[in-house]
Amino acid sequence: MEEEIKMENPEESEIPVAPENEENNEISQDKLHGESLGDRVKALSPAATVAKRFFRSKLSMIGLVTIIVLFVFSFLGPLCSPWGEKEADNNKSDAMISGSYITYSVDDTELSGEEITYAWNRTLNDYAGISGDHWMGTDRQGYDVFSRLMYGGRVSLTIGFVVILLETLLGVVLGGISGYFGGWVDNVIMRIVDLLSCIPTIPLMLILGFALNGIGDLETSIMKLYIIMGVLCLIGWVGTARLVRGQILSLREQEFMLAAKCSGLSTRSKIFKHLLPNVIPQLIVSMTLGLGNVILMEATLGFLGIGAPLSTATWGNMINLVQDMRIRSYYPNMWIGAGVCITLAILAFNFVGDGLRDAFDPKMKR
Amino acid sequence: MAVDKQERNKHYISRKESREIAKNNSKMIRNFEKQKKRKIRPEEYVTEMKDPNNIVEFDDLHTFFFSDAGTVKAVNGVTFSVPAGSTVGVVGESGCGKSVTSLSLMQLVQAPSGQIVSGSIRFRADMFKLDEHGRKIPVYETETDEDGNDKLDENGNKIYKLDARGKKIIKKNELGGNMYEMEREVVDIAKMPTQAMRMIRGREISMIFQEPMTSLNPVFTIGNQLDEVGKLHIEGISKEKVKERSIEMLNLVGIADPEGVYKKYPHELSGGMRQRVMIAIALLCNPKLIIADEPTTALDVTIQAQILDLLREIKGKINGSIMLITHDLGVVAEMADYVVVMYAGKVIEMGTAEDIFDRPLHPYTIGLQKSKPTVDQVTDELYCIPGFVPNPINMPNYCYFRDRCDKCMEKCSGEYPGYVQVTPTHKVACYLYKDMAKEETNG
Amino acid sequence: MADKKTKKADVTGEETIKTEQPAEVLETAAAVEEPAAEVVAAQEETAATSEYVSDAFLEVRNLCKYFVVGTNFFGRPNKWLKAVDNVSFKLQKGKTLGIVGESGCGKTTMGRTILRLHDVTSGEVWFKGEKISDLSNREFDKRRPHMQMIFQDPYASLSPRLTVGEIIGEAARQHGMVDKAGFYDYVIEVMKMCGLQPHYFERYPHEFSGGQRQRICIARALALKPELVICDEPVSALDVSIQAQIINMLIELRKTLGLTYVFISHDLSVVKHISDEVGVMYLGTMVEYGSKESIFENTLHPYTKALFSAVPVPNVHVKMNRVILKGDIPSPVNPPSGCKFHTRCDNCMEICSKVAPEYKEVEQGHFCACHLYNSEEDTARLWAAYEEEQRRIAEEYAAKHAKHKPEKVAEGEDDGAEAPAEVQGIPEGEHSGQAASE
Repeated sequence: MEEEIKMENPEESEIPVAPENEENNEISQDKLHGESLGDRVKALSPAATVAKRFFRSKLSMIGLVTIIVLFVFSFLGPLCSPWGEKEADNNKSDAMISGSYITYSVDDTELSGEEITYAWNRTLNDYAGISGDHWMGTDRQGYDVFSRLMYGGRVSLTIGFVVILLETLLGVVLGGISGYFGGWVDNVIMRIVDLLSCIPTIPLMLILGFALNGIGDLETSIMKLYIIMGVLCLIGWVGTARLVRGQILSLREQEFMLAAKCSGLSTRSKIFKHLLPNVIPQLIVSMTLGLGNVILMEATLGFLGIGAPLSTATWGNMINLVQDMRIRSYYPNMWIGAGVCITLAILAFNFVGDGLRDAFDPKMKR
Repeated sequence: MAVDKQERNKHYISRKESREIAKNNSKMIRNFEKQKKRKIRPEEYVTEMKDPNNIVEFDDLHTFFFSDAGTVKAVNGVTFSVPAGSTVGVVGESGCGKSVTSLSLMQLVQAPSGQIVSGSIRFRADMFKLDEHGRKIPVYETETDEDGNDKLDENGNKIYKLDARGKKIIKKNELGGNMYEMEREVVDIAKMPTQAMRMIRGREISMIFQEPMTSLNPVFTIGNQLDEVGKLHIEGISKEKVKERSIEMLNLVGIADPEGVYKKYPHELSGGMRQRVMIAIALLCNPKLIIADEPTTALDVTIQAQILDLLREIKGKINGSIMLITHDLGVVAEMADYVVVMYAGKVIEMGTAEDIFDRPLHPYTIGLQKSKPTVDQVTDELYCIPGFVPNPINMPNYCYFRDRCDKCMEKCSGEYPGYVQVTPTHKVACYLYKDMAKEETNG
Repeated sequence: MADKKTKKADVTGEETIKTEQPAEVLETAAAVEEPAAEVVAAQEETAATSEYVSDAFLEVRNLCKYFVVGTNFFGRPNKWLKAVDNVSFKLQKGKTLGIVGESGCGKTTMGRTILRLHDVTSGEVWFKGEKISDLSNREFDKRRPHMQMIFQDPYASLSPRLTVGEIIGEAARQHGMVDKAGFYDYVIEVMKMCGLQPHYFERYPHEFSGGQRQRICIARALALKPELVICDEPVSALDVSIQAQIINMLIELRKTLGLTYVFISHDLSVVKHISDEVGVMYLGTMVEYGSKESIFENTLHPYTKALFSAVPVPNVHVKMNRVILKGDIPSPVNPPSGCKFHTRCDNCMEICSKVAPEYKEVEQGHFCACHLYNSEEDTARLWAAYEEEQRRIAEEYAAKHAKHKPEKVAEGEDDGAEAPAEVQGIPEGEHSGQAASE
């Protein structure tokens, strides 16, 4: 235990100091609050902490960029495109070559021969390949695939957001009530949740899709898709409700809720100021992850042909073309784009969701 | 409201600062990780002890955490040593770096953000002797005569006992494991590669943690967890021997029904019992040093008394040293031979237990002792140290305790005070005692 | 309360159950059968004394809080955890009562039950001459500002997503103690009183250290201008130097605001420093109660003695003349019969394992529940009551089971006479305990 003794400058040591040990209990109020050392440490604000953790992960950054690109592509892209959603390209110049056997005389000699006429005709430009005009060709109706991809993105992404928002709203309200009040309310709501989770989604949608066809002009209207997705919301909130209920059950036992009860706070303020804000991080994560699922669901509907009318551009409907063997084999340009978009969107949302979960998790140390 | 924005933002890190911190952190972390990854030859970490009586010497150890809020200098130049066969108590409040010091000794600092930046931790270890291929050299059973001396053949070589297949039999050590040729080496743990460190962790140094509830794995029985450690560290031990050893250890830590506890799961035991099991696991391989990191903080007073009693008893039995980390001065007074007081990553005072408790010098040590109410005396108002325990980020170069000190002088604004050797065993880092030291050295 | 295990209660959801020591709960197989009868009995007792009006500032009479820890197939509770069992005390205004005990002794539950954070199983709580244990929740909420609590864990007891100002002032605003215009000034004033700087108003709790957070907790409680503050281990999660600050502040506030404290702590030295009266709890019952002087200078109960000697003293010369208790704290779900402390007691006598001691005034204002301080006739009376009770139980048991399993009766009777209530069906300890208290 040897350690060199650092000797100070001689003039300093001249000040006589007697180590006094008597109690010095008078601490001025100033001193109590003097925290100059504490002030040297700056904290990260809560938002900055989350943002920092989020941006540190490369995958979630890739996801975020992809989502932004997809949004720009779908919502701003159509403005730059010369083709509309249902605007068929009728400008295919077809050379009509017709020939007929005629007789004609040259220098009084009667000759017979063929007359060939070249006529330039404008017809529907369907099954077009990739060209400068149609970056991804055209489909069976002569619609521009690339433009439809953009319009399809609008429908798919909007539906995703609307459905998720509705689901979350329902889930938060019902799950929150169930978790906070407990007792028979909880029992009733949770049994409803159990019942709803028994309903198989795909058969339900098939039945619904065909049933709706018979009503009015739903068969040709995009309303049908909205109705189906609305029904999906009605059974899709159960996951969120379970999540919120679980969170609230555990939060309810926390000491700060006891403290709130102890202060005699109203139920409303307990729920909305103390409980729900603490569930929001988990909700954001589950919403982001859920978005991918909804987009996938729309694609499934489109693929099965029961979502939006086929003339409406959605990514699902574009995928539907795969069912035509000829298109599947010879015109991959018609469906590959939609497939890639769906994959990208789902992957991106999942990456962002994972990134957010890690960012919100206080236990993450990396 | 009335708090203006500037005032509020003062407490948050601006985006620019944050970016700088991140840049610096990634640079530093990359450097240290690179250093760790390269191949380290034994010559680099084998050193010499300053004092051969010590078992561990911390020498100017710096362990930093590169966090988002800045570099946390958790351990900032810590120098002290643990003499063999003694109990050293490391005292300090939360965030003073006492736990990080012990984790550095185990090389368990949370990487990559936490890194041992400089300094050394010298540890006297019994390392395996390695042959030229890097393999351990076993000791074989030899034929002995009645006096226990090795019989030699005509060439003067030892005669080895052979098993049925004509192979030499490896000698068993006292724990029932294979015996290898050992050598006593002093190693610098701060520079040691992780691979070699595994030989030390658990076998030479073991650790008892604060939370007995979470430091046992809930899905394995107590016996499983004891045996696992035994099998890992005592090579070549037979199954029966391991179990025997485990039960012996459970017995040693005062568990009345060791066979029964051996079969139980952690959740079936109370906190005190679990802590006893943790101690049993720590003792399993006859470690030279036990680090007890707040071993009784989570326990009740009556159970704490039992556990402290047990630790004292065990230290006598295994002939090892204990490094006791705690915030409770009472526990230290009862257990420790030497006391090290830490504050904000630095050792501010150290000495024998008598030095620290009878003649505390540093205002912080004095304050700590006075601020704890005691059962046997009545005081009207408790002495209290004003202010808060600082978070060791961006520390200034003056005494860290200056703002909270009631004996603060002009000099204290100068650079961080060096150590003053007040008596041969007692050292303090405070300007109050500079003169005293001078007088002593003069006279 | 390091480990809490929570489980949903039965359909009514009236109470969430907490088991403080799940380890032992699982370990102990014996179930306590039908204490419902006992609860009813306790309630009847309460009803009988309903004309009583308390003159103390705070009075607790025979307070019980049982948690249901097991239910039978039909959801009827059949296993109880007696977290607080028959606790009584009186507290005058401006005084501080210190409650000491180890984990699982029910001190926290008692504090929470007084403030109706748990429902009262039986017993009465009187506050300023009003029986608050019978009030409806709505009525009680109106009185909440007068009774506040400071919680143990300053990290868990602050809502993480509210600003400090909001946390402190929210309840005061809701109770109409301050209007919107005066809100800021009001909160700042309370914050200053608790040693918090005004600019903390808009910051979030996670930015503060434990000591400052505890100050915020205290400010939150004081913002409602309470008269009674229950401090549930307010300093045990803090550093030593910060502990002293908080304790001094609490004492200072007691002087300036005329507060009355119930100070719950496991730390004897702190309790001694702050309290006027001290109660020692063990496994849900009060084993010793009296003024600070009488408890610390003339310790009666062996448990209190052991507790005192177990506290480590920061003095190297005072070493190892302590009573080290053997064994662990028994599970509160299945407490030992007779005196609950007899399993760890050095002075254990024959009667201790069979008959629960009476909680009686041994000297002026100094209560203790221990057979060591029985007079001879007391002992004889208790034995007689015990034997009477045993006979009654055996007869009842025999009558109940005679038709079905005649041979088992004898077995049960034997066990009942000899062994403590470990494995047999009859919770002998409870019944005899009740017999003793009647």
